Amino acid sequence: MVVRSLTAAGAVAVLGIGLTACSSSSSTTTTTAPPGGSLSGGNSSYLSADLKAPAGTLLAAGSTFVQPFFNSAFYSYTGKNPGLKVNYQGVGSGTGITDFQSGTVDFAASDVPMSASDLAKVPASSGPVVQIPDILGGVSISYDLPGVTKQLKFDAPTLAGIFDGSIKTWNASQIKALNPGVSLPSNAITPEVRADSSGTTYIFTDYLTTAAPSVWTLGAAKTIAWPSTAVQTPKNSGVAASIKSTPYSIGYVELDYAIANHFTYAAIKNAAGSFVTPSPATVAADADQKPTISPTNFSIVNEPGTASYPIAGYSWAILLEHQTSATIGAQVVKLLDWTTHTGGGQDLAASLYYVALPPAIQNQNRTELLTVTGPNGAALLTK
Amino acid sequence: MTTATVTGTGGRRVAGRRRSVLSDRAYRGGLAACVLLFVALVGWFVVAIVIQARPAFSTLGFSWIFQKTWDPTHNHFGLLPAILGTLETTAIAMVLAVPIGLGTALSLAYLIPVRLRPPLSTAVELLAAVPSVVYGLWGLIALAPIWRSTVEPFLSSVLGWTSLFNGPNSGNGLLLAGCILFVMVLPTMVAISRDVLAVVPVEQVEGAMALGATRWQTLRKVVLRDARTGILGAFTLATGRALGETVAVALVIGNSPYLAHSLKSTAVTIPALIVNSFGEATGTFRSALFGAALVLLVIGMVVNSVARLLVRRTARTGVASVAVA
Repeated sequence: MVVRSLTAAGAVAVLGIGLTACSSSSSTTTTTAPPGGSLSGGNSSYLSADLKAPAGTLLAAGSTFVQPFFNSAFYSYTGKNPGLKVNYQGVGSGTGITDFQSGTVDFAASDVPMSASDLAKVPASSGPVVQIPDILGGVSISYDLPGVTKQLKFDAPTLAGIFDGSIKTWNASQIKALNPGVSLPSNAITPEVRADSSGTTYIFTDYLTTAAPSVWTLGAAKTIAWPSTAVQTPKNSGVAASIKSTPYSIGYVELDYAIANHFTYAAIKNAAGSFVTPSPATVAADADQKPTISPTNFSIVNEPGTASYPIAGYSWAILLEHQTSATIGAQVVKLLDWTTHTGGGQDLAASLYYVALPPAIQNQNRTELLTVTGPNGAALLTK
Repeated sequence: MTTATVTGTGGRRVAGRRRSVLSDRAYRGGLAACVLLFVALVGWFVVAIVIQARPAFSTLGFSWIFQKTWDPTHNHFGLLPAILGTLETTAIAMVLAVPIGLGTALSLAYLIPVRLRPPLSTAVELLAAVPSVVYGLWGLIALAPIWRSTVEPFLSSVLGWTSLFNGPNSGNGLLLAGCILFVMVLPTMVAISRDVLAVVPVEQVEGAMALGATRWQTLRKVVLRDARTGILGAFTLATGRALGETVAVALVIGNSPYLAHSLKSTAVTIPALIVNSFGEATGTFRSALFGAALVLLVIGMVVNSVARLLVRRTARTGVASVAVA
């Protein structure tokens, strides 16, 4: 009987998700919505209630991109809520999703939301899955070009040519055309890319696919069949170290990392035609352009707006809508609600060079988390 | 089944020599338990890998192992570039490590003043304890720029005619990975070889000298020949480490899954492929990575068997030449 009522509720919830997905796709076509939006009322009362989570230990796993932010946010949260411990393991998004599917973690984090085929592997008895953005990040195009001090400019077709190996030297006509007045050397370009599967690679190739569809043919994915000229190094820090030790190299590096390590990075041409330097402000400007996103419509690359930095993306937290334990369920929703809102965890974003979620996305997260219920069917998130 | 025969033979031998007392029996039982545990662990390990790798072989057959294209996104799991990369980096490492390692070991055992031997031996053993990621970072940050600016151009100009050093100077690649592996396996090679060289009976050495052999002839014809099996052991362990080294290689080889056209090319090895892909791999991709691990296991066994065969053959010809002389 319990099982039957769960599946019935699951069907209703799936319908609900379907509806929000439809409404989101229709709202993106109307550009009149105020960018970013504002936080809905009652935020502070939710946040103070969040800090009264029941005691216990939570187990979570997934993305390494979000790990520094989670570590900092969870440390701060458990300091204010001493009964709770959170054990987050940065094992990679794929392993996080596998762990979530097999039910060995209380929640997971992934740089790309779970796809339909991923969701199909969650046991039907577990019910529907809730996925919410937890942090926003940008991807910088960093380079080491001896003798050139002026910031370089790139557009998507040129970057596509550099990373698929068709643009081979720094003084290629495409690069020259974008950088008049810069004396570019004739040295060969060494593209530096990620060797491991990475959400950063996904965001970068999603951008190339969206903004240069006729040039970029290698697809948008976490692993790419890079050309043989590309030097592949594991992890963000590996690519960064490789760029630093390789003159005439260029690669994509998480913005937080590039800023923290004082890398030289390029200005990128956005959809409005202006060249924008990556920064938390320009990444936020890009994200603000798309106030409604869903796990099936989550790409925020190449958004309109003159101030938008076009290579950006969200990281996602993943949890079950029907929690089988009222205690663990309350811990998960309260922790994630606090972490994904201004006044809570999002206040820590800037100091770690991440970008805080736009208010509209924060409001959407609370709506999603309010749908999460305990074994008795009551919402677990409270004011 | 095999374990039963092993303990059986051992048992018979001991029993045949004298009546066993209780302590002997307990001792024998303890040893048998150790062997059984060891065999069970190894068996469990291999079986676990085979079980995980099976889906890849059942969906892809066996041909994927020898195909050239590695593109997991489009379900191409050609392992040939990684297999060759593994063999090539190991070959570079061992070509350097065998002569230099043996030379160092001989010096430590016979040539260097006795007072200097302990500190030098300790230094070699300390090198063996350095974590591999440290070697990798050293290679990536300190060596790669030097290889690109100096070592590779030099080798290209001197050995360019071999066409082994074609193409641009990349820093990262087969050559640097092989050199890092050389540094990593050197302590193993030196420490074990030195120990086996040092236990060659003094009488044999003195006998050779007394017969009028020079120092070099003694080292070559008596010491090295006598320590051959032990040196093979050192070679086996060092090769195993080179074949299986993961993090250090992943940091410096460039991880490019293409057939290398020169020693300066970026490439990939099986362990690097596995460590880079495993965290995010699912389904056939994940299974193919276990298949790759299985292939690595087989490569390790083949390389060691070949080395064993070579040593056995030289042993035979060695005996023959002595007999003829």
